Amino acid sequence: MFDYLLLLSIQKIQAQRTISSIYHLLKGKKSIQTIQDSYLFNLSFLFGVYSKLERRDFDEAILQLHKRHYLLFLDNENIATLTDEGAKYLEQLERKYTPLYFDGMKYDKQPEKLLQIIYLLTQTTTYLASNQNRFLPIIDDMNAQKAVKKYLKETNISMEETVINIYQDLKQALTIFPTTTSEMIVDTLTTPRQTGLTSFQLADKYSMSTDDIHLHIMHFGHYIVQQSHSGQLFQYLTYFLAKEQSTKVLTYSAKQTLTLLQKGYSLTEVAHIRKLKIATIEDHIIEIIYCNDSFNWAEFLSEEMLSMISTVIDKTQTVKLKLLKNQLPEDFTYFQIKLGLALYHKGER
Amino acid sequence: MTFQFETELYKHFNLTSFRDGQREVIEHVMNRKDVLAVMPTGTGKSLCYQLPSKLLPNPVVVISPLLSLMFDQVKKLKATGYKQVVAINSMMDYQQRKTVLRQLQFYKLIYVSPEIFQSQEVLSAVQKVQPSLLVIDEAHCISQWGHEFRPDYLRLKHIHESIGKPPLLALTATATPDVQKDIVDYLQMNQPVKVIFPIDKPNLSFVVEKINHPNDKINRLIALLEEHPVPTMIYFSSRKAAEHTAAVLQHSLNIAVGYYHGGLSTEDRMLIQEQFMRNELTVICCTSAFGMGIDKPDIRQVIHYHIPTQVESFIQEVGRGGRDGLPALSIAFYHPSDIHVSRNLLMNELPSLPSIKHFIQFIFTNRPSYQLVEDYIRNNEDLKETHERFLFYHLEKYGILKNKKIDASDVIKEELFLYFETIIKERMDYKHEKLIEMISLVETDKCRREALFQTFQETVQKPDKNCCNNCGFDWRKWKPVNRKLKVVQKYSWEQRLSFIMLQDVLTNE
Repeated sequence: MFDYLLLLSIQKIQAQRTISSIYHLLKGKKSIQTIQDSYLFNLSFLFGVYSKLERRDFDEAILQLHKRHYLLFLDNENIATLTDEGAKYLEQLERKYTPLYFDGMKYDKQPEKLLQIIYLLTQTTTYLASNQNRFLPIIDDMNAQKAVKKYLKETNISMEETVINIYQDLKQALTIFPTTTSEMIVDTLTTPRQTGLTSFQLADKYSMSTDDIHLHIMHFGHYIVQQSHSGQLFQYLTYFLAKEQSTKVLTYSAKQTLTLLQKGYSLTEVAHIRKLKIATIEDHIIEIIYCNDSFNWAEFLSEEMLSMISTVIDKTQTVKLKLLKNQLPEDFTYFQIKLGLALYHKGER
Repeated sequence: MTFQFETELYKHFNLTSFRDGQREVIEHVMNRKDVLAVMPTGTGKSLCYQLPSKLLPNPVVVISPLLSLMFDQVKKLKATGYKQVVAINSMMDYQQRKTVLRQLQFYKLIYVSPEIFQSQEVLSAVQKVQPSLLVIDEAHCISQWGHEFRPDYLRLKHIHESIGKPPLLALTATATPDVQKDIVDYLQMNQPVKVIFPIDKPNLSFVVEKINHPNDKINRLIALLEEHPVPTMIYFSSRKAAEHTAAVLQHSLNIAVGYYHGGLSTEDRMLIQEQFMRNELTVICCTSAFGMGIDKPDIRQVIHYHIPTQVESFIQEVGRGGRDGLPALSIAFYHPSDIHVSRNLLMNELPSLPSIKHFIQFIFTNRPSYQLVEDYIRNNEDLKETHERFLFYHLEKYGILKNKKIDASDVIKEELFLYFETIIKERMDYKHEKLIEMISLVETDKCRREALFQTFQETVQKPDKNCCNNCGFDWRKWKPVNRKLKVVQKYSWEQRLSFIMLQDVLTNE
């Protein structure tokens, strides 16, 4: 799974970004560059799907792919492309792992959170249903514990019924996954009959890396979020998400900029008030465009300019700013081109 | 105040009788005496203040150095239905802490970490509830000569005074006479009652095995566990060795083996602990990070793959075997080259002289803020977490650090360095002495039981059987009680899911 996501990302960024950008993407780094790139290269579904990824492990995985001749390094190993063998391997992995349910940019921290809730809810209800009131909660997070407690207090459904509900949903959800994933998820559950296995133990049992294990579990997490949003399975889990509104990612700084812009301040004024460079505020605006559908961009770019930019992108099939700028009239600024690119990508999606 | 302690015990904790010593300690505590209690781990130290907390008019404050231990205790108490208990520590976010402090009088039992008392807010909130008793858990941390010295503990006297000098209960599992004296002196305990329990256990046997080649350790381990696949802890001096050996054992034996060390995430640590408790793991390969707060009764073998650097640690670790009173065995592997490994470990416990020189230079050229010094230490490759405590403690003692402010203007650089040099030499000499003591213990040809406990107590109890391999240990007589192993069969995930989740529910229907 890790190999698959790495090769897929390398293929999609078409040697236009460094290897590190993939690391930041998987980690979900909330920087304008990373967010922007993820849309640019149609990789926003992988944004933050592996937030615990460590640089060491990432580098090692890339090195292994290179050793197996799937990658070719260019420019001092900072940039990589797939070899023919790599492309073949990617196809093979694609058959194995699709469909993918990841939607990182949309779900943000929700999959991680709901997995914790599932673990805790499963443990709590199975223990209580078998009349065992004493147990150590397997999830340490105080907020998750409180939420589960509150939920069980408020719901009218009996404990036995809750267990059955979770059981049925888990069973149905797991049916659509490869057997290995289903086996693995069952192994992670803690009930009076078994203690969940750690990722190291799972790695040993299934002869995979801990990275793979983590991604398989996260993949299931994304599926759970998707299902509970669409009301198919795990409906009760929406209870635990209720408080969060817009789930799309906006950096804190960009949020502040947005607030000021909405109050009617101009771009220059915002820069002045916030003691930031104009270029920084411009980057915030790009970020806002990606995340916010209702933002009014008309004062920065005319419809006519946008259509000119779109035409050039269609013609050149590039996302390199410099190339685009060369094809456009002199008075187009980089900011406007970036803005056009963002709108182009959003329109396309 | 007169209580029927047995009745109260049953009423509050659903227990019918006290274990050895508990009642004595509780009686003294309830009579408002200062008490120093030395009780082995696993003999129910915590009940000695948990029961009084139910009976005393005002809250009982417990100072405990280990966050995980604190959480465990609170969790366990809450699980038994004791709700008026809380832990205040640095893990709590500010809002939570504020809420707790505002309603502090609601609680009967308040666990506090020593460093959190540096907050004036916490101190005055505790002051206000006028605690009936102050408990110092792991009191040996006060002694600079103890193996777990904690500078934070040196502020306890001040804390005790500021909260109105309630009676004191100092608890520890291991304390040599020196350390006991340190505790009483330092806390200025008032004519303390000393309740000291023998720390040796008659059901423990001791074996030291000289290993001829370092690589032979693993083979011996496999042979031992093949013969007796019983609940076993194996102690290592490094995380890597623990992980590696666990993998080797797992693949050469038909039993479940896990590993545990400080590098695991909290969640993983919890799972491993729980698996071991429930016998889903038979063997655990660990560093000294494992064990605190573990109350597994049926550990049959405690194996030291590497010997620890002091006798105190050894005693604490072997003491985790056989808490149910049934026979348990301590096996220590020893290879002459181990002493070098141990020396290296010791060297790393304190910062090196060059890195101290560099540190002092940094303070004098940059005149840094507290925050900057902290960042310097944390980002310096040569300095570790334990070094941070050491450095800050001595800066404070030398008068350079006061209330989180650094001021070295009255200090001569060379003198400060000399001070550190002296301290480090003194500490290293001491640590080496301890190491030699440990080595001579494994090399002794006299009774190991007597050698091990002679500095801690006057007499040693008579062993149940099989004393040690210097008094004639007979392997044929080592027949540890073995429970039936669960036979793991191949089931589909669907079958397993319904088995682990539904079985109980379905049979109820």
